[in-house]
Amino acid sequence: MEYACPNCGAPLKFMSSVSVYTTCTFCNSMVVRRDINLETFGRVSELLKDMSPFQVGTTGRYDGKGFTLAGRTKVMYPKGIWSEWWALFDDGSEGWLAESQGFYMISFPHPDSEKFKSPSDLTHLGSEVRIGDDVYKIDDVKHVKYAASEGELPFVFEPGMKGVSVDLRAPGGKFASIFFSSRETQVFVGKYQPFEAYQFNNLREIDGWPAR
Amino acid sequence: MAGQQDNPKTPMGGVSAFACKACGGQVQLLAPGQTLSAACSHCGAIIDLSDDNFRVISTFKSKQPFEPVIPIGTRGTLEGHTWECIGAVLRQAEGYDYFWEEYLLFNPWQGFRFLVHNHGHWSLVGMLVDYPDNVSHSGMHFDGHSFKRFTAGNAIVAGVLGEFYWQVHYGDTAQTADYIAPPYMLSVEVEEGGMIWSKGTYLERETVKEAFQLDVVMPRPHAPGMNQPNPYKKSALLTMIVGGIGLVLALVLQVMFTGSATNTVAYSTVINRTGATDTLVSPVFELTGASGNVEVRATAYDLQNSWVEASGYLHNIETLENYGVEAGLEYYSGVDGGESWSEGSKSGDQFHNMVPGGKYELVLSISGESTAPLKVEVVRNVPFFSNFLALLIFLVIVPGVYFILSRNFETRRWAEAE
Repeated sequence: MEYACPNCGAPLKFMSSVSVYTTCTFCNSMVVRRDINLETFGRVSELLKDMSPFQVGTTGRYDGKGFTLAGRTKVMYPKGIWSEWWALFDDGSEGWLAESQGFYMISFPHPDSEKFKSPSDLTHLGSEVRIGDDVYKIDDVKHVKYAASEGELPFVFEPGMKGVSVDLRAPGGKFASIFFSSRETQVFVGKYQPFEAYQFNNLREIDGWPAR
Repeated sequence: MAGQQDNPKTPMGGVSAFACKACGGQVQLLAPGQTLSAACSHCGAIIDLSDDNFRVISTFKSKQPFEPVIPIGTRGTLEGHTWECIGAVLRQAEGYDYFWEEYLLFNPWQGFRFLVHNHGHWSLVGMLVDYPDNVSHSGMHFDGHSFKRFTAGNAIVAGVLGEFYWQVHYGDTAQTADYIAPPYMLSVEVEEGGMIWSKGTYLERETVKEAFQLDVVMPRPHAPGMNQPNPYKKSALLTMIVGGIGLVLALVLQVMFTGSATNTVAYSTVINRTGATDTLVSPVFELTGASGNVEVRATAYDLQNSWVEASGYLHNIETLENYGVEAGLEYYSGVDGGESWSEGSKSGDQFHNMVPGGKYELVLSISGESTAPLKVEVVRNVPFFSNFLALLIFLVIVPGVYFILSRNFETRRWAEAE
């Protein structure tokens, strides 16, 4: 679907019908889509000139299906930063590709979110948590802040939005995360895979490093 | 939501250089947007890169001289990937005058690794996603290896250069423990909010030097490294295997030879010596079999404080081939201060292997002062135990030496443990 940026008039494209938010690549306005109306609410800070290997439009494969990265948020906590890329699969499903210090975790929404009311129930590191058929162990509890975004997202990105992210793991590289924000609780389950396993294409060129 | 909203700041990335708030010097970033803190190369102040104003979060307290072996900004290839050294931390064992260095390596696609340098020993270390759950006091099984607990303690950040993907502070203390299965090691660091497990692999210092093309003399180790492969273990094992196989082979051969050793006297005579040079030309005798060994023995039972020498050859009268014979005998004895002594031997021999069967004669010229009668024998197919014994000792000694060296190495390694 083609729109025009309400701020600068540049063409705005939404890759996914479920996207409610995007950023104008021309003027950096943050744009919210409500039905057919677009609204801007400020600009993303001049950011994301980081060394992420990905860009909006990078494609990859997981579990025999192709996906395209549509947008990302950059999340920070006192000890680090990572990116959550929104992955749109060819079959219409959605997932998230977390890019964190050279680790690449793909995950998908899991319906078990009702079980988890508050992050205060999940502070004991190493304790076991059942999600679906798997038993995970709590690995890490982080107080995080959404710091930046680019591309389109299935929720309205608000800079500085806070939350608690609980990372869990199960044997065999299985990974889960439970994200608590004032809005909702979301559960994701997925897997760690090495970079090469995703067969990425259309990667970003990185200054000072050879193209891949 | 509105109440939770901070000022939209934190342009992580976007800048690759800025002025240090502490000294005004220019700070250059190597992995902009990937790192959260950086040490000013001029004054050592550590700066929060997630802060719009590049706030100083830590300053140099105790000046610790810190010359990195790998300069910040150097690139090298390890495990098939190019790595840029973007940071280095000098760490100290709390309560000890013991330091080591951790270099932070970055690759945009592979992420981060640490190159740990501990007194001439190097390891390439990566964070683990899957880590051991079954840790006992003595160690654990992980990834098909049995890891033994080596050391534990507190590690303090004593020096900082370059930039990091976390917020580093001078004096940061982490509880650490190391487990080894050379060349591998597992390390755990416990800090607020979680445990970080990582796995390291030993690297030879020359590998590091070559990988980063370092134009320096690499520090030499003075003691075995924590996860350094035991250089003697392989040789000990190899020589033990070779020795074992050799032993079995030797045994089989010995049994075969002993079995075929007829030990038959083909010719025998006694020469009554005149004291001058005597000559012996034996009648023709037969050496049996297709091929076998032959020993020519000379014995003078009455030899006393004198010597005799027999030299000549075994002559095959059909092929005209000669087999040389040299046998010297000398025997001295006496009583000295109530102690009787003797030296030398009353017999001598000449041995030949693979002598074809056939008709032979023995031609000897015998000289020497002795007039004692000399018995001369030609013996076919003698068993030879002495060779077997020598081989046995050799096959046991070599692995034995390596075994001792290997044990000694382990003793010295573990002397450094907690």
